[in-house]
Amino acid sequence: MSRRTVAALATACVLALAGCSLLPAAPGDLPTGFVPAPSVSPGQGPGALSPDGFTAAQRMTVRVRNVGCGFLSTGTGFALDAHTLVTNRHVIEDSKTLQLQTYDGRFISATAVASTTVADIAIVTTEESLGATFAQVAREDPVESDVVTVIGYPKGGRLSTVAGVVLGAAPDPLKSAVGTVLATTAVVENGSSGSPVLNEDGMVVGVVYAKNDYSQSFIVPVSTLATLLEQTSLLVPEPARC
Amino acid sequence: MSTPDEPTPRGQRQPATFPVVVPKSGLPVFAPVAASSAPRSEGPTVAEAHTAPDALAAYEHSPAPPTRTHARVWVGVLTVASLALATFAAYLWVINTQWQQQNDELRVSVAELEGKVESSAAQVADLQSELLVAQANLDGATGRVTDLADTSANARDQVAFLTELADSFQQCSQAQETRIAHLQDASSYTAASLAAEGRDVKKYCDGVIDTYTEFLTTVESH
Repeated sequence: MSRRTVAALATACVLALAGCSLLPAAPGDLPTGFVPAPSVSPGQGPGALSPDGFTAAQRMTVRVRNVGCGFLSTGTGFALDAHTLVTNRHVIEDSKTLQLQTYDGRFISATAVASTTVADIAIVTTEESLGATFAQVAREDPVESDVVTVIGYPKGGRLSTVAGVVLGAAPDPLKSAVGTVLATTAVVENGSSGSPVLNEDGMVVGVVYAKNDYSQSFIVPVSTLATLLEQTSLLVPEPARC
Repeated sequence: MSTPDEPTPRGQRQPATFPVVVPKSGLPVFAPVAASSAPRSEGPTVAEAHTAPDALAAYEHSPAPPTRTHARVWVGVLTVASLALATFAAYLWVINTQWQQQNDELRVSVAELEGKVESSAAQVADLQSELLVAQANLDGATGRVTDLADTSANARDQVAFLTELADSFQQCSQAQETRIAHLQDASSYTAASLAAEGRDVKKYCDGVIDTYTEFLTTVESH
């Protein structure tokens, strides 16, 4: 067999094999079953509804009644865990009895109160559980133009929600806090003090504590709250009055 | 060109010479040609053979002419190509059959799924309408819960307030009793101190009464 013959045969074989690489493949096996992954989970996320139809933010928000020495006032707080509540210092001041009420009308008595002079913040502890939904504290303070939501009991009335925009840092109008506070356009009333301020992700970014005549509200930023929670030595037990 | 391999003995008949075809592969192949014939100018190299029997044997195994060799080569190539094409065609036929079968299965599945989708779409529409009703009911229920919680909280506020007010009235009453006792023993006190006590008790009790009046006004306004 001549070299030319061998070359021709080899070329023919190579061409034939090269053609195999372009051949269509056989169809693969069809899937026998397909279970799609759920695209939404109704029970998760800060805005998720509980079985009773209330949002997580509503469930963690608590009404505070301060039965003081010859007066009675109301405010708002929010649950950090099952037995810890955050509110304002001026909400619990001069208290004879401190009573809490959850969104669904459950009454709980406060067992101990601690406050600080660093900011208008107080920590209330309870023996009975505040519920099963707690605040998710943001890591960073909100910045100017951030949209925030305030949930509370204005004027001691129904649980309600208002929205606003962060205006930026401002000096403390009550001069009760160390450092700056944040001003927002969220309209609050007496009784809203201690309300959680939530960002668009439903995380707590501040605590309402004051308002001015221009319908602006002032909040203690979450960085101050986080500092207080980390340095418990800054919190002093609040004695019972009367 | 022809070259004898061995010397020829004297007096012996000069044997016939045969050309040897040497292919390019190098192996000698014999081919019968005339002794006097000149070497060919084309084709394979020709060499001379020695004996007639060898020449005859060589003749029997003589190679095919170049045209026949080429033809055999092409036949081989065409055979290989034909086999390859046949294999290719068979493979394509098998693959086509498999794809067609799967296509048929998929069409059946699509038809079934279309029916299921229509049924599911109808169920989704029904469930959406039910969901809207349930959502409205849920909103109403949550609003009702909030209202009840608010009413309960306000009632408890009033209870706490009225309890405090009752305590204030009781303190007012005790202050009045103390003042009456002081007035009954007025000789023991100065007139100024009795007057001051009277003003303080009146101020306190008036404040309690004002608070109660304000409370009644607030309740009536609601």
